[in-house]
Amino acid sequence: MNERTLPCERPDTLPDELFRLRGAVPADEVGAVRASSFGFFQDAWRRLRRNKAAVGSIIVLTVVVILAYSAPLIAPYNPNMQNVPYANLPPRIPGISVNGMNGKIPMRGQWVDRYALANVPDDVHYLFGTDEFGRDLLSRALYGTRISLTIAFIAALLDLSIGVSFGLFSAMRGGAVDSIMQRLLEILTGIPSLVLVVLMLLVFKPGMVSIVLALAMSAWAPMARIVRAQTLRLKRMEYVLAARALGMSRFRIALSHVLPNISGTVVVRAMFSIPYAIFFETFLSFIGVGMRIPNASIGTLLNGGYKVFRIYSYQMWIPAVILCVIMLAFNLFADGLRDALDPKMKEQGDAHE
Amino acid sequence: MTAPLLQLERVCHDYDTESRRAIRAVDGVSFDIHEGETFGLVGESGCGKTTTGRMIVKLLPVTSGTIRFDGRDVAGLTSRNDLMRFRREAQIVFQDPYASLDPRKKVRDIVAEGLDAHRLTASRDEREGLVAEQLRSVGLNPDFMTRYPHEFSGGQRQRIGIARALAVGPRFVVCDEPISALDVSIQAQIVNLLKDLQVEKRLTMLFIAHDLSMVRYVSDRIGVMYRGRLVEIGPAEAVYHDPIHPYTKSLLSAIPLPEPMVERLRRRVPYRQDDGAGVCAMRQARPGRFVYCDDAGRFG
Ligand SMILES: Nc1ncnc2c1ncn2[C@@H]1O[C@H](COP(=O)(O)OP(=O)(O)OP(=O)(O)O)[C@@H](O)[C@H]1O
Ligand SMILES: [Mg+2]
Repeated sequence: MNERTLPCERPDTLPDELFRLRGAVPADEVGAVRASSFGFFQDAWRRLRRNKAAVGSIIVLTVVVILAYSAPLIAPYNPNMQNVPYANLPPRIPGISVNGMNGKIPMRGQWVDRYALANVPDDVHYLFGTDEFGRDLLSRALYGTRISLTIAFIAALLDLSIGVSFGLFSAMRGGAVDSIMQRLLEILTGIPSLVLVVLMLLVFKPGMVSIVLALAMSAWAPMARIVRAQTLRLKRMEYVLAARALGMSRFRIALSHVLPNISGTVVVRAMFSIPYAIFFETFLSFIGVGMRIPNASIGTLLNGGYKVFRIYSYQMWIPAVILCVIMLAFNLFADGLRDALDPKMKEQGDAHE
Repeated sequence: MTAPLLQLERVCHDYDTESRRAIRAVDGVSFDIHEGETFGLVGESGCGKTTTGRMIVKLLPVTSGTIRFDGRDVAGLTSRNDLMRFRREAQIVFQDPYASLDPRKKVRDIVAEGLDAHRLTASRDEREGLVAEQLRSVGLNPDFMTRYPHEFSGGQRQRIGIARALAVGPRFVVCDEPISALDVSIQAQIVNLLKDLQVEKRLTMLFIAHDLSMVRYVSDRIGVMYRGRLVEIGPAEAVYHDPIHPYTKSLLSAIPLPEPMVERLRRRVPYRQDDGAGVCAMRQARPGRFVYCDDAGRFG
């Protein structure tokens, strides 16, 4: 080591000549601020707006939600009121004379005007037709969509409340508590929801309550898992360690560091749980363990429709199209949101399904 | 002589203690740091420096051995009062300036984090004032308060990290490779800043680095770590110019020098452990200088 020619005494400041500048750019350290880029959410919003499918979905969903929730104002008839003489009338839309939308329906190879057969006055129109009891299908579709959307929003809320807090708590506590909570989650997800709903029929009447309770039991499990995994990742980040070293409590760290940093993932996951819940309700109602028959929901409409599908196919098509549009719009919107908020999550999400 | 501020006694840390493949990251490390002193801890990547630093500030548990801070066993600080006092007195600056600042928080809230955790401010104005003061003391413009971390360069972020650690007024700071992620020209500025702050705030420091050449400018004494063990401790200049342990020599031989004539003669000295060494321990080789070797002076 004696060939070293560096000064032996410790200088007070570092000699500049010891440091060669990288490139020719002088290090203008203090005071220089990098060109301020867009904030995170601005960036995400720009990406979302560029996604045509997502924008279209937002518009469709807005219209659907507004229509569904103003059902009591805009529904032309009482959705549960029977009017047997006017049963099974096909759609008749004023000003349109296309077969199928003008009150005619094919019977034994001929287009027959059902409205004339039933002696319906000329100024009475059923835009979506009527069902076997003469109930207005438009009103039923509006109220039914409202029920389906309400259940979906409750599911999303459960995801955001139970799912997020379960996952956060489990990961922040760690250790034995975490293990126990994970086993509990496995047990809950191990019970098939269908069995759960059928069992609940023993206690509750079929309807909202049992559907929501079944969702509350385990529909939030995927959310809890994702939140836990993300929290475990963030827990090792140096800024969380810094907060711990500064004496911040775990609770405060969870709220002020972890939650804001996983919010994108959480929102996206909650959006994905909405179409799942809509489908769940529809399926249960369709097989007869969900909403009860006089009350409209997309599932009960489908149930009524498929029985007469061979003759009055519109009674099946209308709720089926509504279901497809809502499901598709929510899925496309959630997809767009995911890509906008967290492009990296794309592969993870696909692997997860 | 007064008792040292920080004492490590045969401290070990195992990762994954529950599983069978436990990793001993730190293996029986002992050293003292006196009030006002800067102790440099060097060693190659993965030798356990970060683990040691985090155990000292109680971010990781000690598997065995004791760490005493101000005479008290750190593991025994269980009451909230004691723990919070310790959290104010011992702070840490992190290695990675990009991962150590929460991207969703403004600089103001990052620097004020400790003030909030310890409820040190009574009003918004007071908080704002203290944050501005901290930013100024690390050489940043107080107007940066309302910006987000991504708007800053690595060196500026490291300054923010330092301001956050110093805001609670610690006596002791672990600097975990605060400069290794930075450009060389900026490394000097951060090192000089830390030296100034140490004098100004009368800090005791543990300065971690993997590169001896920088550490000797800040440190009074240096400890050299190798595979979880301390292999040599001594005054900074002595260790730098006259290393005893072959691993230290090897470490020094890896430093390039900005002089072509010398650089041409430089040879890497690869370090190989002596398999014939007996039971090794820290032994005093010369006054004030300790090396890890066996009775006969062989290095294990
Ligand atoms: N969370 C962990 N789980 C298991 N092993 C770990 C963990 N963190 C670190 N290790 C291991 O412990 C050893 C010491 O790691 P440590 O981070 O303390 O090294 P270091 O000296 O700080 O390295 P560097 O200079 O790269 O920062 C390494 O061999 C590493 O593989
Ligand atoms: Mg490290």
